Amino acid sequence: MDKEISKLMRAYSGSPDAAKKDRFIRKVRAEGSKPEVCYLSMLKSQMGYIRPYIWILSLAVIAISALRLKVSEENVSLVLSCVMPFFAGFGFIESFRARAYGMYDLEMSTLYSAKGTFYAKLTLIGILHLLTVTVSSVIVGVSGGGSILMEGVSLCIPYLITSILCMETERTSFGRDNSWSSLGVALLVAILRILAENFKQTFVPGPAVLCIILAALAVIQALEIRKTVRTEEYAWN
Amino acid sequence: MELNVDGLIKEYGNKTAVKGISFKLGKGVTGLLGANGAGKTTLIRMMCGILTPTSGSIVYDGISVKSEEYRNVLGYLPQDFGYYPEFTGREFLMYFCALKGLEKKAAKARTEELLRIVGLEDMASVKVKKYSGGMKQRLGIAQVMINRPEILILDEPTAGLDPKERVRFRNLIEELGKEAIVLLSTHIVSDIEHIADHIIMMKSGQIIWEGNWKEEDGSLEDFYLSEFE
Repeated sequence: MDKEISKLMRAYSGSPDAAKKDRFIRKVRAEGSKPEVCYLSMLKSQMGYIRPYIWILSLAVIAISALRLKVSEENVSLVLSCVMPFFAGFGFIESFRARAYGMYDLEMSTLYSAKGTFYAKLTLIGILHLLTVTVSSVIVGVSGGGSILMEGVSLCIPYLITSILCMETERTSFGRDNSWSSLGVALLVAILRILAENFKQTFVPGPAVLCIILAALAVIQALEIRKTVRTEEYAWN
Repeated sequence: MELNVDGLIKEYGNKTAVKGISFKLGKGVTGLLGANGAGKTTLIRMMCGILTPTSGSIVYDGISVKSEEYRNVLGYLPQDFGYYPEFTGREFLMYFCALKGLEKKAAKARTEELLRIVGLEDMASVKVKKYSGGMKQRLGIAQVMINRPEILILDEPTAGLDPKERVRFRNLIEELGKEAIVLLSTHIVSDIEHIADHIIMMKSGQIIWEGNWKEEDGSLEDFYLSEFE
């Protein structure tokens, strides 16, 4: 462009001020390069960051249930319901890794935020565990000639109790600093499950009671997740 | 480009960590000075959306701190940040690219570019746990720059760095301050003396002084000490 014309145009319209430039840059960013927040793509990306042992544990649980096909032992059900607390405990450790490894603040300031990451991991691990429990219940239920539903309920109850207690523990400073404490919780629940077996002779809760207990535990679990996500870590330095 | 903090209060039970703070930040580097326990980190964590204020507001050009839009233009380097033990430097950055919404292809390119900028390209495949303090800080800065932020919040970024690294880091922050709002929190006066004119001084959860320290007599250190007496 001719220098004179350029000069005249600048005199006519004026050069853009800093505020206009900022607005322009933001407009371009918003239109062109703003990343889309998509929960599905978040799930996809987080799947790669779930450690292999979580998948291996699920296979191990299914393998234990498959034992029922070979060994006609009722003990397989008891073993499985004692494994469930550990299954929940390891899943819990994986979901709360960000807090345990000091990544929480960094993740929190990202587009998806630490809460988004946490929910994504929880969803993925939850789906995996639900599938595992379903497959195990079907195998044990069918091979033992019992009810698949009741088998599932008896596996889910120790799982949910452990998960709830782990969340309670995580909200204490001890639990936050010692992520492996959830395995202590799992051990405690597993011992209680074995002890409960002794009362089988005197008290056997009916299917309806067990289903009500399970529903109540599921509600408590949902509330615990909400409470845990909302917990703010005390910082004073 | 203006970040507006208005009447910010943060209470933890019966303790008040931040007591009604208000200020405005524009483009450039602002130093946040205060002794340990002054409430700097609490203030910063609220500005990054990690903590919810008991009352008050944080708004950037009409965008609330709680929105995705705000997080999209935010870069934050905490005082101590962790990493998953299995991560290499490259994996660490790729992870944060994913959390900042970058597509895989763009993330790979941005990661390599940032590793080059912070001088970690030779260490990219080494586990972060084997990095020195300075290398970790450089990786942290690379993470901050992934989304080309308009707001940069750095909490004690020079802690644990040797003098050479500290100077290098200061220069980098100064450069970043030309294009963005940079809030640099520290209790080391010399860190901000050369790069920030605008200073906010905090004590016991309150701002005790805010302004251009160069308009005052003497060095920043003298001025800082006189304010705290």
